Formats: sequence, structure tokens, C-alpha cells
Amino acid sequence: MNDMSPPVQPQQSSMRYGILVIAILGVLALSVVAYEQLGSTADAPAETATTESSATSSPVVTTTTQETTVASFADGEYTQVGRYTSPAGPEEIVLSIILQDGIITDSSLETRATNPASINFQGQFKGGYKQLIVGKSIDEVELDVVAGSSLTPKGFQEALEKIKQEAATT
Amino acid sequence: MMRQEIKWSFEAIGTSWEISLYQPVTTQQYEQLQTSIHQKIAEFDLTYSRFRLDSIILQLSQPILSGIQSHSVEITPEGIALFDIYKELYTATKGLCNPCVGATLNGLGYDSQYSLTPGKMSAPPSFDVVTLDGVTLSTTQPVCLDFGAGGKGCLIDILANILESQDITSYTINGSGDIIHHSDAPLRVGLEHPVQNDTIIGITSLTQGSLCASATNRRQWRGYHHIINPHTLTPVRDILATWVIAPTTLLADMIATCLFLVPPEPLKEIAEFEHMIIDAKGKIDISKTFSVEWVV
Repeated sequence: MNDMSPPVQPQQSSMRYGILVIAILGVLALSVVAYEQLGSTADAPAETATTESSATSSPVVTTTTQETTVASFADGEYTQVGRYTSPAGPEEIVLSIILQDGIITDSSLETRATNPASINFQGQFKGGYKQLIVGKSIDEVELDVVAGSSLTPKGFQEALEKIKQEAATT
Repeated sequence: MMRQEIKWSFEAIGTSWEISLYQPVTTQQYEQLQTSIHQKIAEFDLTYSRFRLDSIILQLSQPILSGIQSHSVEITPEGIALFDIYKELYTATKGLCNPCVGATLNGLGYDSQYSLTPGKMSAPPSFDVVTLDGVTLSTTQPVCLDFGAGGKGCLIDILANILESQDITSYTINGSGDIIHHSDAPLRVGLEHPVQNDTIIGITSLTQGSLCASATNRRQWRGYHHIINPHTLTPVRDILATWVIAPTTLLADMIATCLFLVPPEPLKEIAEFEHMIIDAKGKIDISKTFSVEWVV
């Protein structure tokens, strides 16, 4: 049956990961893994004020918790250099995003590594699936073909339609 | 880039195909090619499809009469490579990649009628019950074989051989996102967003070779989709999409599916490949030599 000799061993360096953070659709939780505070060109998010009572019998001290997740970012364009260490060594990327009403409306990425490795980003569940990075419409980009899941066979499509109709009436 | 192209689009085995030739052919040659290709696709479908009741491999799902040790059918010679890679990956994935999963998928509703109604699901038998001797495929118990993980890739390689045998060396065969490309000019392949299907997240340039993509977004029904973990009997939830570039389309197709079931490491024993995987948390795992032009 199978008398093929084992294939050539792959190179050690064939798989390495790095960390980058890219655009997210919808209300964001920007990861601070590779970044320090965003906001180089616009107002920094307001910190919750610390309040302390002046001397009374029972002072109430409120401490500030640094917000690391959802914060209200002012509209504007932000650029940050992200540095991280991959197993291949230190790497850098430059991420620019444009925020409007807390939503990323555009972004660009300059990878400074010669071998871009892997990319981490956070998404958001929507109907059981997370929204991922902002994509570009297929029409906007010059390409020859698209690779994704295979188109569903027509019979499958029809069956699916029947199910949807059935679900709508029950 | 400008490229002289003869493009032929057609529907076959339930999906859309596009074959592009980048060198001139005579009308007679072209017509002969189309005939050979259609014939080959029909033969492959008749032999290996789980979805047609007259298929050859479906005969192995018949009950075995008492007193008889096994069933056998004759497959085509191209099926040998297909069977062998399934055996290797069955071992490498510790049984997670198992073509005996046909009955399980039927139980989920992904059957020849596309009933898409989940019913009783059963664990698949061990792939060890199936053996191949030359072109004789035998089983010691009834088994419904599903070659969905590698069948299309295998067929694409077969069609590429038909082109090559006619001295056509510059071409693209695109079987709905599973692609083989040979040409001086690279092919710009858009990588489809696994959730928003009318967008792409990046472009990779395929120079020479095969690229296959797998994702679970399209074939979904009632909370199920078509890539099942045969040990848990549930659809794989933690991976959304995979792309693989490998030396053959058969390998690329098989590995793209296996990456839903296992990480890349155990598969590296079988072949060299480049990959990109997007998981349900939004993490992208991309191998070093898989270069992508991101479009964000």
C-alpha cells in the first residue's frame, strides 16, 4: 500500500509566531499587549478622578482603577509603534488607526520585520461568531481569484432556504 | 499584469470551476481537453462521491452478508494516492482525520438529500477496517466513506496532469477556492474573510503550486457545520478558517481540513507546507514563509 519514503524533514524555522494587534470591527477592546497607551495625537482618555474626603471622622477614599479595556477614545488618527519579541527576535510594527465614535473606520499597518510572523487580534462575538479585522470589499482590490470556503452546492443552498422558511413560520 | 488567458468556467460536482490557460491552444485541442476533463470529473464523482447513491464507494456501506469476511470494490488508480494520504493523516492526527465519518455526517443531516436535519449521530469505525490492495478497496464492516477532506484536491491534481500531458504547462485550475497554478506570473489570491464573505483580509501571491482554503462559514445548518470532530461528534468550534500552500493540491486540501482538528506540528511529519489559520478568538497563526499583503 503505502511504500512512499518519509518526506524531507521541514526546516526548524518554518513556524514562528509574533504578536501584532490590528483593527477590530465594532466596539473595541484594544489589546494592550504590544502597545503602550494610545493617543499620541489626540486627547488621552480621561482618568477617573480620585476623590478623597478631607479630614472627617470616617474618611472615604476612592481609588482610581486604570481602565485597560473599553475606554472612550476621542475621534482621530492614532499611530503607535508596537514592539514584541518573537522567537526569531525582537520585532516592530507600526499601526495607524482612525477612530470615529469609538469605532475603527480605517487602519494601516507597516510591518518593519523582514519576516512577518503571526498576528493576534481580538474580535467580538456576533451571532455565534466573532467579528474579525476590517476587510476590504473584493471589488475594491485587484486580484485574480479568491480562496475561502468552497461555494455551497446548489442543492445545499436550496435545503438551507427551506430550513430558514420553516424556522420563520414555527 | 497583462497575461494572455483562455478562461473556461463551468459547474461540476456541485461547485464552480475555472480553468485558465496562459498559452495558445488550437480549437481542436481545446475541445479535446474539455471533453477529457469532463469525463475525468464524471468518473471521479461516480467512484468517490458520498452524495450519489450509485457511487462505487457507497457500495461499501451495504451490510455484509453473514459468512462473508469483507466487501470489495474497484476504484480508479488515482485513488491510491488519495487513500494513502488518508492513512498517513489518520495516524498523524490520531484518528481525528477519518474518512469513515460519512455515516456520522449523514446523521447530522449532511447527506445525499441535504436533509440538513440532525438525527442520530454515531462515532465512525476505525479506518483500519478499510484496506487497499492495488485498486481493490475492501472493508470488514459496512462503512460510509467521505473523501471531502482531500477529494477535490486530488481531482484538481488529476486535471492538472491532463493539461500537462497535452504539453500545457502554464495554467490555473480553480475549484471554488482550491487552486493549482503554474505560470511565470504569480497569481494574486484574495484570502476571504471567514465571516464577511464579500470581503478579503489579505492577498497572497501564489507563484508555482497549490493553495487550498477551508472554512466553516458556508456549509452551516441548525448550529452544525460540515467539519466534525469524530471523537466528540461535534462540529469544530475553535478554528474558523485555514489556508495551506503545499506541493500538491491533494496535500494542500487534506492539510487545510486537518488543521481544523490538530495543530500544524504533527502534520509536518507528512509534508512541507505553509499555512495560515484563523481561530475563533481571532488569532492568526501564519507560517514564516506564507507572505500576505494585508488589506485593512
